[in-house]
Amino acid sequence: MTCVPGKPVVDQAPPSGREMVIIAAGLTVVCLVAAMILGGLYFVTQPAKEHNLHVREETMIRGLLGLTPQARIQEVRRYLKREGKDTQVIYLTGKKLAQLELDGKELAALDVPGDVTAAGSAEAKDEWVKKQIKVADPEHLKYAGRFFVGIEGSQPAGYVVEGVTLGFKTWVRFFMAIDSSYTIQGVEIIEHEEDPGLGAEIVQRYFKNQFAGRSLADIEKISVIKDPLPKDWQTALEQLGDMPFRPWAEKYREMLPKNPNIYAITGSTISSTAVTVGVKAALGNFRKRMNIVEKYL
Amino acid sequence: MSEHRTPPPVSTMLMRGLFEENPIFRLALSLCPAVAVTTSVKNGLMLGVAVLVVQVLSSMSGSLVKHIINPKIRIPVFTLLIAIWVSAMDMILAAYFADIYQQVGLYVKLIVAFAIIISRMELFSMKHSVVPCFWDGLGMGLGFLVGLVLAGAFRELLGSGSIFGIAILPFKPLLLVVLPAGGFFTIGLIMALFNWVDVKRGHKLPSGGGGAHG
Amino acid sequence: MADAKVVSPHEILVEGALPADAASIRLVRSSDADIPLAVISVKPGAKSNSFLLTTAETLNSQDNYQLTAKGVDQPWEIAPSPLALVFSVIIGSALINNFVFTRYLGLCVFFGVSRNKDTAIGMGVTFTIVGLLSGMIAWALNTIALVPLKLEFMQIIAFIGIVACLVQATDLILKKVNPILHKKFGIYLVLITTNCIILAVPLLNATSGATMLQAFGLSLGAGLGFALALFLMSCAIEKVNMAPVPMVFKGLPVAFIIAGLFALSFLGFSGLKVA
Repeated sequence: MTCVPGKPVVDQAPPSGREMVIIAAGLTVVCLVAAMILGGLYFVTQPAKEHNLHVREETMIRGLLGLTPQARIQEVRRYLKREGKDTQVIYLTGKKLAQLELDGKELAALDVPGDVTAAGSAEAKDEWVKKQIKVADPEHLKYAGRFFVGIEGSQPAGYVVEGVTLGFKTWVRFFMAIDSSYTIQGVEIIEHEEDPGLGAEIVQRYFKNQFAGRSLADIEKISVIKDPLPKDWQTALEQLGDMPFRPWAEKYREMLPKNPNIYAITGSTISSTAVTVGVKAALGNFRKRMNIVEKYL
Repeated sequence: MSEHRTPPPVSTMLMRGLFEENPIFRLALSLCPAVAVTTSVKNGLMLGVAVLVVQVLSSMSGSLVKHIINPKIRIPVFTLLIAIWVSAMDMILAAYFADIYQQVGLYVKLIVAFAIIISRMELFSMKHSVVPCFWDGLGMGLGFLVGLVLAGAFRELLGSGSIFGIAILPFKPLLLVVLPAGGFFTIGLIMALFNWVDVKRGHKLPSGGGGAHG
Repeated sequence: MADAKVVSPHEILVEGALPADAASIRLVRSSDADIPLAVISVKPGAKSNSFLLTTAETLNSQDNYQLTAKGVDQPWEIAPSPLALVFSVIIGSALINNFVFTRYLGLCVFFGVSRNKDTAIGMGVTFTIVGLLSGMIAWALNTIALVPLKLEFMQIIAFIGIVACLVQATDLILKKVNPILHKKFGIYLVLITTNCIILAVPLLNATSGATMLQAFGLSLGAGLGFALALFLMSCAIEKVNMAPVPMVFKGLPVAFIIAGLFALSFLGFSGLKVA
């Protein structure tokens, strides 16, 4: 068996007591050294990892919203606090930490210090929130989702909502860009484990760009169909990304009503439907949440 | 045990890993990544480089510590050495190559269980000093890398009509090869090709076909 | 505690005192607890003191929901039963996402020991047991020690240590306790350390932040799936060994082609859903 490293286990004389101590001590030392080397490396790579992730997300958001380089991106994090029957929702925006009843009634609102707003890592923000909100058990306060606001000058220029949906295999995580009238400007798949050649095609422009340009009303009644994707529509879809959303939507304005539904990827109807359902839910929920959170932005 | 043998010439050490003892197609070792990550050249290349680096570093460090460890705990120590290098590799890739890491992350971690690495340490590092170990590790790692890139190129070209994500063909000739099952077919076919080349060169096939049978 | 469960994509069966008016009921998905789901109607159920809720939105029996009502102190927690959860994870990891045919793990050992049925069964049984044990121990270590101490970067080393120790310990214990069994299964024990599935299971559990039940399901499912794959493969290989295979395809190449065919047929499981 070539798979076995080394020789098969042969019966050896059991090591003497002294030898055993030396072996154990030797292994312990090796393990300690290993732990120290890796720990050191961890301290170097962890911040780099977080920084790169942050940069990657920002680039994606800027691309989706077509922001100018001067624009600012503000993350809004949502938490749920559950104690017994009582559930509260907590929003951490750029300015406020708002603690709200489920129907939106304000319980408390704190100003957020600048260093928390500017913190790149999610962990730093979560730590701060946990310090402000008193709970009996840390398990009762949980991060529940987030979205981003693109700020051009001092005006919001659009929103990017993070959504998750159960795909064919595991979770599919996506970003969805929308303007202030809840029209989708683009969808970007961030993480998925769908099959290459099949479900993995959801990352392709000819699929994900089918959501762009659709309003809340369009999305609410959209469905997934198995018809073949028309050639001219595919050509149009491939353009978005090379050109920003607004000129694209202007150029292909009359194409959208002709293609009111989402064309499923051949052989991957489940993945296509999963993304559509996810987008639908994310948009609907975001509209409801926006009514409450808007005044804290 | 600790005496060094005369190492074979550098060219032999390098070429051995590439063809005669190609870890994937001839030795049939560490097949999981060969099938799993080769849906594109980029993935194959990334994992190939990771294995190459881990192989070289493990072989060399194995050779360095062989005098000071008790032979009875040789295997645990070797495993630990590999695990250190793999963990380091894993952290670096996760930090600086996040987008590819997302697709091959699990397999990078699993390099620790690749039989090829520990078997090179056992067969070569135990008997040679650091410098030949470097060449041997490099040869084996390159063999692995070439294997992964070859399979990746084949599958990406036929399955997606592109290489390195750049569209080359205007159509997808054979979607099957990039599907989960396609990896098995591809590796099977390339192994048969290696055998065929061997037959043409007048070699006799080793019994059992594709090299040492696992 | 009153009970409630999802009975169909638009219905929830609730036991207990519920006000029979849809307006005073609040139904939410636990992960989106700030967004109420519309309840269309509340009808008395078949049993006394039970109610059938109809919702506009499609419900998923795998999801968690919470139901509160005015004037009732205790909320109803609607969760899939633990048994159903474990079962769905097992089916998922053994058939839908079979480790050998769709994740391509453990191939070395897979091609090595699938040449006859007896070894395939022996390896399958041994692997399932050891895999389950190591999966659970690794899960416990990860949840109790590594995650709280922020030592996740030691996962690879810790998990491979657990597997190696467990295999050695099982080998020693089995040799002393039941030498006959050891003679039969001992050889497979040694092989297990080089099977990447045994390492992939704890790593997957750790990345997904699995609960104990999910970890149990994945560990068991992975083992069962591997055993199934081995058995199927050994049956096919025994037949192929008697067939005239082109010379260059003899041995591993043809084994790979067969594995590819199995993988294709396993694609058929992917639509499978556990109700």
